[in-house]
Amino acid sequence: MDLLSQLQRQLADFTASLYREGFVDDQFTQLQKLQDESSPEFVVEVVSLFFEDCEKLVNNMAKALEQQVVDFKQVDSHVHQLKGSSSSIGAARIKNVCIAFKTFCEAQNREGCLRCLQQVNHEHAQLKTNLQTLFTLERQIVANGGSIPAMQ
Amino acid sequence: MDLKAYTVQYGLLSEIENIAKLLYPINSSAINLARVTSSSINGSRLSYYDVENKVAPSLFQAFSTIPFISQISYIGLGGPLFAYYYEGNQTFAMYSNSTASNVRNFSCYRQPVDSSTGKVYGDAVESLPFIATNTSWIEQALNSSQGYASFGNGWNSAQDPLFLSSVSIHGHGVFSLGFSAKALISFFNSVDLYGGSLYLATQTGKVLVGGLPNTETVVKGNSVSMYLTKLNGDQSDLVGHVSCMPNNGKLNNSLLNIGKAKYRVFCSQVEIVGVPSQMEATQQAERKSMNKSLAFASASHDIRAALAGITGLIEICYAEVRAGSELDTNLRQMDGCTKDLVGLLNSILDTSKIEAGKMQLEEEEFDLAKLLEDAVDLYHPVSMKKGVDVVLDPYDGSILKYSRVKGDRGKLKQVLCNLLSNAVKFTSEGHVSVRAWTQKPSLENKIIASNQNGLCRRFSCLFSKNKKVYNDLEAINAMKQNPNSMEFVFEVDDTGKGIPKEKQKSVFENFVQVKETALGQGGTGLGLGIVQSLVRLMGGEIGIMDKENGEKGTCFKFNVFLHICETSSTDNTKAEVEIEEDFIHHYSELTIRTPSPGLMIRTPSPRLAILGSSPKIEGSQVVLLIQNEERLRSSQKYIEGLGIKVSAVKQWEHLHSTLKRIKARQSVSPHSSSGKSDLGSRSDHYNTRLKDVPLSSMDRIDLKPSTSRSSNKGAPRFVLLVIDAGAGPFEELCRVVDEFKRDLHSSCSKVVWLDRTTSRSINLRSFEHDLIDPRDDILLKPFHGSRLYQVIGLLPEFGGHGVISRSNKGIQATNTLQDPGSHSSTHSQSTKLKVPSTYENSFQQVDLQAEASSKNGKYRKNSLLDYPDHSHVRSKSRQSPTETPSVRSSEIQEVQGNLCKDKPLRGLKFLVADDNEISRKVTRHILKGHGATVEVCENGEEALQLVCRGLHNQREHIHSIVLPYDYILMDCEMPKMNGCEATRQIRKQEKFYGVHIPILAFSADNSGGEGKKMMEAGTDGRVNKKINMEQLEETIRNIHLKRMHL
Repeated sequence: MDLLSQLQRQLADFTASLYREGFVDDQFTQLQKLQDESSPEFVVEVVSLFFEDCEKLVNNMAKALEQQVVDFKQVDSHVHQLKGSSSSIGAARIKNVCIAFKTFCEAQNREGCLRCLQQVNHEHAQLKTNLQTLFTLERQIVANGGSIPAMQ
Repeated sequence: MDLKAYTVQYGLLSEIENIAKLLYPINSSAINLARVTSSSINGSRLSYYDVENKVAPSLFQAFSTIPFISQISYIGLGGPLFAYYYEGNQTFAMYSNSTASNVRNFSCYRQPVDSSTGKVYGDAVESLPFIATNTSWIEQALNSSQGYASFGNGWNSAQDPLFLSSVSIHGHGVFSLGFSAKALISFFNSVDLYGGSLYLATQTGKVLVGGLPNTETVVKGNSVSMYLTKLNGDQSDLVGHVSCMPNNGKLNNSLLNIGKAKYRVFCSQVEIVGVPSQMEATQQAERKSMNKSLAFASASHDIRAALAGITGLIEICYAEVRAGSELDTNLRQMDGCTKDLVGLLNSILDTSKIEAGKMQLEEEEFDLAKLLEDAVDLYHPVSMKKGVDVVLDPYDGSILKYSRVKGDRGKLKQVLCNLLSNAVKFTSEGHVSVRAWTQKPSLENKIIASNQNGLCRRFSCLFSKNKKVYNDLEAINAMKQNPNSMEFVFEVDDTGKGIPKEKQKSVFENFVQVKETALGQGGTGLGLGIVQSLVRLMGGEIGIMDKENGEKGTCFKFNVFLHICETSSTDNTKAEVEIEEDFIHHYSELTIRTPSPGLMIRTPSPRLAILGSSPKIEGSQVVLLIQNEERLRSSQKYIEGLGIKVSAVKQWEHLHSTLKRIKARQSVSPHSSSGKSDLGSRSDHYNTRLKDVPLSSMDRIDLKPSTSRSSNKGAPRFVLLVIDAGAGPFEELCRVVDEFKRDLHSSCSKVVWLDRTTSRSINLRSFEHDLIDPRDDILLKPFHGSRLYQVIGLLPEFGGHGVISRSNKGIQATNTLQDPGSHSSTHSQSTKLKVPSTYENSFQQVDLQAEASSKNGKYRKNSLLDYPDHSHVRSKSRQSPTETPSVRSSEIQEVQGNLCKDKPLRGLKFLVADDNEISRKVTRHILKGHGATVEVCENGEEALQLVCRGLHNQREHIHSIVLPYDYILMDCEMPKMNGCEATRQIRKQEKFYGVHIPILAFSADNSGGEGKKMMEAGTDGRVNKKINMEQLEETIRNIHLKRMHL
C-alpha cells in the first residue's frame, strides 16, 4: 500500500511535469482517458508507432537535406507528416518545431531546416525517455495492484 | 412570638439584601477594569514606562469614577506597582520605579497627586514596599482566573480596612480595587433594626460590625459563636452557637441569653461585596459550552475528512470490481451509507458552527424570485409522486419588484429547502404552498409573537460582556435601519398532519421531533433548529402560524432582511417596464380590479411588459382549469391582481359551459354604450364575487348577463385557456377546447396545456389523432413562477401575441432526457414530444424519433442533435416504410440515457480520410471513444470511392436516401488525391442523389491556407487534429443549424 501510493504520487508528479514543461498537451490526456479494457495498450501502441514513424521521417529528412540540391518539397511533405502525427498524439513540442520547420522549408532555408531537424531529434529523444519513464511507472503501479488515476 | 421574629428577620434580611444590591455594581468594576485595560495593553509583561503611561491613566479614571473606592492599584508580576489611594482627603500615588533588570531590589515612593489630573507633584517620599509584607491576596488573585475577593488593610498610614477586589490580567499582573469597609458598612447603619442589633462578618471571619456592646462573634465555617467580653476586653464565656445554614429553606435561630436579655439570633449569608464569582462561573460555563461546540465543529470536520477518504476509496474499488457482482452491490450500499453520514454530519456541523458562532453570512447578489422558483421546483417532482402539489403562490407580486437582492443566498435556500422538505415529507394529500412578500422593515421585528429570544438578545446586549452577541445584534440593527434593506416574509404552508400546539415551540429545539407525526419518517430532528438559527442569523425570526380551526397542516412563517440591489440603467430599459398610467386607467375601467399603480418588474427573467394598449382591444380573459385548488386560487388571484379577468373552472365538467358563454359573448357584436355607470355596476358585482362567493361556485359567476353587457366595439377580446390536462378525460377536454376554438379567429385565443413529466396525459397519440392544435403550448413544469409570468406575457396587454418567445429559456423545451422522471414514464411512446412543424410555438417538442439507420437498420439516436428540425427532416428521410414511431425508440433512449453524457457522438457515423497512420489511429480511437462509428481510409481517392459506394447501395436497398456517413473528416494533403479534390468530387457525386454530406477539413494547425482551400472546395467546417471534443460538438451543432435554415 505504501509503495503503491508512493508510486502513484510519483506518477502524478511526473505527469504534471510533462504537461508543465509542454512535452505533451491535452490531446495526450484524451488518449489516456479513452484507453479502456477494449484497448488497454492503446497509448503505448500509438506512441511507439509514433516514435518509429518519427525516426523514419527524421532519417528521410536528414537524407534529403544532405543532397546537393535539396528537394524542399520533399522535406516539407515529411515535416507535414510529422506535424500531423505529433499533433495527433499530443506531442506538443515536436509539433511546434514542425511549424517552424515548415516555414524554413517554404523559405528554402537549408540552415534553418537543419537546425530544426536537430531540434526535432532532440525533442524526440527527450520525449521518448520521458514517456518510457511514464509507462514504466504505470506498469509498476498496475503490477502492485493499483489503478492509474485518471488525468484531469 | 416566633412568627413575629421571623417576619422581622425576613424584613431585615431583605432590606440588607436590597442595600447589597445597590453595592453590586462596584463588584464587577474590577473585572471590567481588567477587561478594558487588558485590551489596551496586550498581555505581555509591562515595563515601568508602560505602567506609568498606559495603566496609570486608566487607574486614575477608575479611581475617580468608581464610588466608594479608596484605593486602586496595579501590581505587575515581579515588581512594577502603581497605586492611587486616599490619605484623608488627599490623593496619593504610590509607585515603584524599578526596572526590569532590577526586579528584586526596588524601592517604593509615595507622592501627592493632583486630584483632577492624576499627575503627581511635590516630593516623592521613599517608603517601605508593602508588597513584600502584604502579598497573600496578590498571589491568590494572580493564580485565580476569576478574580479574588479579600479583606485587607489599605496602604495609607491608617491602614484602613478595605474590601479588595483583585483580578488578574493574563497572569502578568493584578488590578486591585479597594473599597473602604467603613463606607460600605455605613450603608447598613440606616437599616431599621427594630431594636435588634446587626453583626456583620466576612466569610473569612473578620467581624465588621460589632452589634451588641460587650459581645464578640467568632465565625467558624457555617456557624457563629458568640462570646461575652469583659470590660477589660478579655474574652469570656461562650454564649452559644448559631448555625448559618438554612434548614429546609428556613433559617435556624438560637435563643441566647446575653446579659439579662433574651435574644433570638439569626444568621444568614448575604452577598454584599466581593468579586462576583457566580457571574464568572456562568461565563465560564458559557465558555466551556462554546469550547465544546468548537471542539465539536472541528471534530465534525475531521470526521468529514475521514468520510471523504472512505468515499474516495469506495470509488476506487468501484473501478476494479465487476459490475453487477455482489461486491459491486455492497460497495454501492456502502456508498449510500457514507452519503447519508455525510448529510447527517453536515447538519451537525451546521449546528455546531452556529453554536460556536462560526457561521457567517455571505453576501452576494441574487434573484430571489428565481431562488424561490428553484426551491419549489426542486421538491415538485418528489411531491407530485405522492399526489401533493407544491405551489409557488405569487401572492401580491411584491417579490418581483424587489427580486434583485443581496444577501446570503445559500442559507436562505437552505432554510426554504428544509421547510419544504419537511412540508413535503409530512403531507400526504392536498398541497404545499410557498408564498413570499416584502414589507418595509419595521424597527421592532414583531412578526412573530413568541419572540422570546429576540428579547433575550437585546437583554444580553445590554448586560452581557459577550462582545460577539453585541456585535451581531448591532449588525442586525444596522441592517434593519439601512434604507436599502427590505424585510422579506416567507410562508411555507402545508396541509399535512400538523404540529400539536403544545409541541410547536419545541420543534425548533435541536434533536426534537414530534413523535406522533414523525414516526417512520426518519431524520435527526436537527433541521428546524438549524433553520431557526439560520433565520436569526439573517436578522429574522421563524415561527408557526396559527391555522384557522378545521384547517389542516402547518404554516411556517419567517422573515429575513435583505439589501435591495439597484438595477442598472441598462437593465431598466431591458427588463423593467412600468405599467403605464393610462393602462391602469383603461383597464381598471374594464376589469375592475385596479393593479397597484406602478408595479415595477425588476427581474429580467419574467418579463411582464405591459404596453400602452389601444383602447380598441377589450381586456383579455383567462380561463383557468387547474386541478389543484390552491394553485387555481393563487394563480387566479395573481392574474386578477394584474387587472385581467379570470374565469376559474374547478371541475372539468364546467369547462364546456364556461367556454360556451365566453364564446357567445365573443361572437356578439355589441353596440352597447360603455357608459361609466355600467362599468361601475359591474365592478361592484365583480368585487362582491371576489369577496363573498366561495371558490367552488366561481365557475360561472362572471358570466352572468351583467358582465356581457360591457363588451364593446372593436376587436374581440383575447381568450387564454390554461388547462390542466390531468383535470379530466383528456380527449374530452380536447373536444371541448376544439369546439371553443372553432369559428374563432386563431389570433384571439390561445391554449396552454399543463401536463406533468411524471404522469403524462398528453402523449404522442394526441398529435397523431390531431387532438391538439399544433399552435397550442404544452407546459410540463409546474405552472408558477417564471412559467406563470410567461403565460401572462402571452396576453396582448403584456405585449404578447399569443406566442411564447423562443429566446426565453425559462419556458423552453424541457428536455426530457435530462429529466430522470421521464424515464420511468409509464407511457411507452417516445418520451420526447414535439408538436409537429410548430416548434416555434411550443414549449415542448415531440420528436418522432424512430429512425432506421442506414445499413444495419438499427435505431440511431444522437443526443447532441436534439434539434427538432433535424429529427424532423431525418424522420422523413430515414423512416423505412415498415417502421413507425414506436415503442422501441424510447427503449433505446432509456438504455442510452445515462451514456449520452459521455458519448456525445453516439449514433453518428464518421469517415476519416488521412494518410497519416498515427493520425488515423488516434482519430478513430477518439471518435469511437465518444460513441461514433468510424471508417477510415488513407487518401482522397479511397474516400471518394467509399462515399460513392455508400450512396449507390442506399439507392438499391431502400427507397429513401440515407447518408452513408454523417460526417467526413478530410485531411488536406494526401497522396493520390488530396482533400480538396476529394471534397469537390464528393460534392459532384452527391448531386445525383440530392443529398449533402458534411465534410470537415481535418488539419494539424489552424494557420495557413489549407483551411481556406478546403472551404473553397466545399467543406462545411474544420476540425483540428488535436481533437477538442467541445469544438467538434460545436461545429456539428453549427452545421446543423445552418442546414435547418436551408
